[in-house]
This record gives sequence, structure tokens and C-alpha cells, in this order.
Amino acid sequence: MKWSRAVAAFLLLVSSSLLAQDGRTPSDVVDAFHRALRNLDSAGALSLLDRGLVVYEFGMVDPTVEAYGLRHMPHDMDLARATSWKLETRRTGGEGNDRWVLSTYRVTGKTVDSTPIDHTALETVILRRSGANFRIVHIHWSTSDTSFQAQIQRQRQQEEPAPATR
Amino acid sequence: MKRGRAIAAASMIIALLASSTLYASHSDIAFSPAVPRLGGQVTEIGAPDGNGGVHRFRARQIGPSYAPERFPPGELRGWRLTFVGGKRFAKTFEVTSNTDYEFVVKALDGPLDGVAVNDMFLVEDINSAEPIK
Repeated sequence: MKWSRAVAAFLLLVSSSLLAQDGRTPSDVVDAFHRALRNLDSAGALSLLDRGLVVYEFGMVDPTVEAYGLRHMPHDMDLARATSWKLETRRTGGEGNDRWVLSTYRVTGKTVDSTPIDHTALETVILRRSGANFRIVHIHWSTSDTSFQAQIQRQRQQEEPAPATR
Repeated sequence: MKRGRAIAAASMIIALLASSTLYASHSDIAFSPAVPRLGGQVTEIGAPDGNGGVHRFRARQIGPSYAPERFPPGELRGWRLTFVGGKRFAKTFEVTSNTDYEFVVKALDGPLDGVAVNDMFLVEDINSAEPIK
């Protein structure tokens, strides 16, 4: 009986350290972010981002959450809508309020000119507990397909320079 | 009845023209925009209405690069407006009317209270989104 109580207490301790108060693990937050992008849910995606967010994406930098939300999150929604992202590998780590989630995805689909897409996307996400929830403070995306990366860079460089931090 | 159909047809044509205007010079893209969308930055906050809530503000268009320089007057009604910064970060509103520099919004997440000059937002024609394949 004492043994089962000790196990229960241990499990409670472990689970409370892994889960934010809303019950979402860091992996859940990453998956929810991808779902929000695919569902064109701008507010839902933004609500998972920390106000100090910095994004490194396909060789480009979004230094603020405003820059990402205004300039590049829409492109990510278009990309998510036009392609299928299948999770292939995931590792998680960190402790306390700071966690990381490393994922690889098989990305398939077609570009606007019907060029087939079939590559591996690499994703590093760093999350920080902010109040009751984990929020994303950093995302780094890259790809195994250099021609795809070049195409994405060309599209994103058409946009004006990202707004500076106020 | 005929008049209603004529109005519906005219509305559809206007909507198509509006979307083609938004994408007129959009080239070298990897993926088509899933929905028409524009970026904006608040330039002036409107006065509170009779209930004390702010629902009106002025703004300038700040993107995307391929869009016209000013908001298309009257064409953003029903579009979803989401703040990407400021105190109303990640809060959503519905545009009820607009000119090329002024918006009136309906509260989906409460009034605009807290929105400040220079806050940035996305406005998206979310109702035109195609279903996910």
C-alpha cells in the first residue's frame, strides 16, 4: 500500500513537471501550432507563440513575433495548406520552464506550378513556460531540398524588410 | 427575385475583381495564398461608442508587397482582422466596413480597447478559404 502511494506520488510529480497547467505538453503545443497553420487559424497560431519569439526559417530571420506574424506566418499557412507534413521522428528534452522539441517531417505536395514536393523538413522548437502554458520562443526550419529552399527564399525576399522592434 | 439574383451576380463579380486586383502583380511564388489577405498598421484610434467600447480605427496598408498601396474601400467587409502585436495580440475582430484608411470592426474577442497606434494586424478573407483536401 505504501509502495503504491509512493508510485502515485512519483507519477504525479513527473506529470506535473511535464505538463503545463492546461495539460499540453511541449509536443502538444508544436502539433497544435501546425494544426492552426493548416486551419488558417491566425489567432490560434499566434496564441501559441511567446511575445519574444525569434524565427529562423529557410535561411531567413524574423526577429520579432510581429515580423513573423505579419510577413511569414501567412506564407507558412499557404505552405501548410498546400502540403502534407507527416511526422517522422521526434525527440524532446529540457527541464523546468525551458523545453525543446526536435522533429523531422516528410513533406509532400505540389507548388503552384505543379512541381512535386517530396522532402524532409527539419524543425527545432524551443518552448518556455509562460504562466499556465508552454509557448514557443524559437523555431528553426530547414529542408533537405536545396531547390525548394531557394524557391521559398525567393518568395519571401519579395516582401519588404521585416518591421523593426518598437 | 430577379433583382436579388442580379445583386448576387454583381457581388460575385466585384469579389472576383477584388481578388484579382489583390494578386495582380503576384509572381514568382511557390504557393498561392490560401486566402486573400493584407497587412496593416494602426495610425489613429477612434473615439469610444455610446457603450464606451472602441470599434473604429485608422490604418495604413503595409503588405504584402504585391498588393495595392491602399486598402480597397468597402471590399473588406466580413474579413477577419487579427492583431499580431500590441495589447490585443492574437485577438480577432470582424470588419463591418472599411475605407482605404479606416476600419470599423465587430468584436469577436471584445472591443478594441488597448489597441494602440503602430499596432500591426492581418486582415484575411477567411470565408473564401477552400476546404482542406
